[in-house]
Amino acid sequence: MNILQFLGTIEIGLIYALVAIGVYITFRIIDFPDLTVDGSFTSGAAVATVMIASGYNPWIATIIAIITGSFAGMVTGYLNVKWDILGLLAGILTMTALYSINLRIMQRPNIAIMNEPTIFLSENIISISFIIVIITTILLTQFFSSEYGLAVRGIGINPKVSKSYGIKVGKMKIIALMLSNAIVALAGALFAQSQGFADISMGNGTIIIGLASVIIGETIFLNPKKILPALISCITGSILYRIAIAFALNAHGIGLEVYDLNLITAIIVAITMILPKLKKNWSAK
Amino acid sequence: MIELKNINVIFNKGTQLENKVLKNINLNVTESEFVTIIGGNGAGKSTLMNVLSGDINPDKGQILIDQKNITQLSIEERSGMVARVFQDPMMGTFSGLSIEENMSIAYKRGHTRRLKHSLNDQLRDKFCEALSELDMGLENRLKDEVSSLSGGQRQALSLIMTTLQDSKILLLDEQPAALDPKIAKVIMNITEKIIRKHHLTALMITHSMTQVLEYGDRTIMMYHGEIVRDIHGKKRNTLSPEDLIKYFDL
Amino acid sequence: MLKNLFIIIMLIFGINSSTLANEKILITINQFVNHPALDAATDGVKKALKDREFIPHKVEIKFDNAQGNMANAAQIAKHQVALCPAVMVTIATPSAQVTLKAKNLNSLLAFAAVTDPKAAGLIENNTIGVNDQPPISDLLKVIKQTLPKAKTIGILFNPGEINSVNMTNEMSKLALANGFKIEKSAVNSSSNIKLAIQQLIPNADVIYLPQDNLVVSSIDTIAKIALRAKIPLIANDSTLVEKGLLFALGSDYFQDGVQLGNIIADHLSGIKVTPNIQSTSIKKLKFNDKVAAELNILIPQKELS
Repeated sequence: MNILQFLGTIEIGLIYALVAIGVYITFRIIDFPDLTVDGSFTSGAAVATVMIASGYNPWIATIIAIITGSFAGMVTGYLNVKWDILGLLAGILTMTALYSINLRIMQRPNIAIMNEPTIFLSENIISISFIIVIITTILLTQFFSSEYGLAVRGIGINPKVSKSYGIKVGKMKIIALMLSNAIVALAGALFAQSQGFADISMGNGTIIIGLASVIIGETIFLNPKKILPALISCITGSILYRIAIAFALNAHGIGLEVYDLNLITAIIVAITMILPKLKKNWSAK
Repeated sequence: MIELKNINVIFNKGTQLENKVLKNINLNVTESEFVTIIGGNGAGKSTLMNVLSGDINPDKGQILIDQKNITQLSIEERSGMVARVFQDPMMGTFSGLSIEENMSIAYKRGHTRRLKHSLNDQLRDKFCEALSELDMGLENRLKDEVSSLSGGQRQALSLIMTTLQDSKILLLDEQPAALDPKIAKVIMNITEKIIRKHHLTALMITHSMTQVLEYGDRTIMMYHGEIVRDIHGKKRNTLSPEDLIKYFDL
Repeated sequence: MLKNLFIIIMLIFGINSSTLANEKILITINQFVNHPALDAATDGVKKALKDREFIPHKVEIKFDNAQGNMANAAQIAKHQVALCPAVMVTIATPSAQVTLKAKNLNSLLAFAAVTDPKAAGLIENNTIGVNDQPPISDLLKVIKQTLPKAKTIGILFNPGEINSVNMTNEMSKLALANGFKIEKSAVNSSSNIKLAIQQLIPNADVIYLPQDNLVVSSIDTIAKIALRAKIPLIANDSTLVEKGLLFALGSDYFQDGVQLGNIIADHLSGIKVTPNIQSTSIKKLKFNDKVAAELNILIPQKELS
């Protein structure tokens, strides 16, 4: 792998680090398997591109994209909390509805903004993404140390006792879902602006990428419990996941035939998870 | 003052398995009274506690706290008035969070949570002071994760957590039951000490014949959803566990 | 933990596994997803390059498939750019777009299987390609030849599918300009397919089926009803012909690939390429003889240039 490939890996890894963070908030902090993200990622991309194509300031477009994502999370939360629909199903329902909604927003399956101004003014995608990721991490660390944020963490750990301490479990769940999907929509808006287009299928597989990144990060950093280390592990996991894919892309240079990118990356992720267990068994002997 | 008026709870209403778990329960608990509850399995003790906490809605009847009708309030809504310690020590605290974070959550019971930081030095001093009552050294371990504590320590912590804010009633659901006897004794002593010190109104379920008389001011015995004995004062002081067992032969 | 990280970093920079013979020109291919049409396009490109004798001696091909994942497509694009290829072939719109962003000014972007290059933002310097707009005006020509008496074209479309809507609008526009009348019937679920097509039966002389997954999955029902009413069906997807269409005229993705391969070969040989973006030159016109016989229709010349 040469330095250019490495930089390309970092660029995509940083943007998807936000996806990993969003997935972490739902899957780990509130223990809610949220599949909305395949839809909200695309929503972020769709809203940002449509607004930029219409001449709006790209920063404003990005902010509206973030707000759109939070609405998606709110719908999923509402379906689950108010109507008692299983979390997994609620997410799938929202994601499915978002396909049509995103198409309506875009009016076509693909919009290009190749020459329009984006928040990445010249070729500084990595630095701006890095700053956005850092700011998001800092804001989240502050949030989860607040009285409110601590309550959100509480419902994910122990909903029963949370209730007995006056925490409105349903409300906190919805807040967390809104937060998570807002961040994922931000990632979608950034990705669309970095690539110069939005496509209706852009969000496919977002949840898998997010989960893989979270798991890789947790394996390397040994399941951090505190928020700041956990977020850093998500960011690192996302970048390492991209590096794993870069490996797979280089694989046929070593003499392997790349028949299935997915299979090879799955193997690399599995090895990441098995290695610590092997080490444990080895030292136990 | 806590009043339970004509509380009726029926499980599986309208089916063949219909079971009247609480039948016309009437109970008044005065402020700072420490009541112990005993009864066989299925007597309705836990259901009574769940009705007070809000986990179960009574089919008939009312709950009044200081003349305010709280029967329709949810668990969260009445949490400012009702504090609870659960039986399972692992259940009563938040694993993965530190002692001070646990106490911070407990500290906001009955209050609105805001975006301000959940911990500061002032609060930590308060927490240290509260923890020192336990004599377990936990005040020096504020930043330790709760899962590194033993069962007894966790249960003691749960107890202290409920005292960080005022409550109208403290519900104790066999809180020493899951611990080994020596620790259980320690926890019971701490329970009594804390309740007396803070003049708490408390309701405690226990299966132990000795505990039920040894602690508290008043003992209630339940049988098949009804309160069959309500003993306090001199009469209670002269009772022994053997006498109690006789009461079970109805 | 730090040890793990260290090992990983060493591995990354240690294995630089792109080994290329220096004399050969590098051509990268970024295909978006596995799909018979896209696979055919890739095969077409390779065949043309082989026939023009660029493969295997003058040119090295690096092929990557994003497997439908946008993030992977973007990473593949950056990965390929870092190898400094002379030509970057992309199959399908998303792959073309990510590559356009990633590439440097010296590499040539060559795309196939893109329906609307202008809307996709692909009309740029150093870009060539073959676009596959469904040939609706040519389709109308064939209608006039085979069904000279046809006056009204019925369209069974899916308002929830953007391609269906676009093709319907295009067909309406061109058909009206060519003196035809148009009748439309909307369907959005397989349960009202029957009703929708029965609506068209009384007035339509021929029914056009814009490309849409719903139509494709219900083609047997549609064909049965249309045949019973003796109304011919037409479309742009030749794979539907054997299911009961009278004929279809559309892009042959393999030929598109061949066309692109030849343009690339021209470019590498120093021959000027105009125009940069070309339409599908060979369209596949396919007739269903059985249906034609049952409808008593004479099939004109089979090849349309």
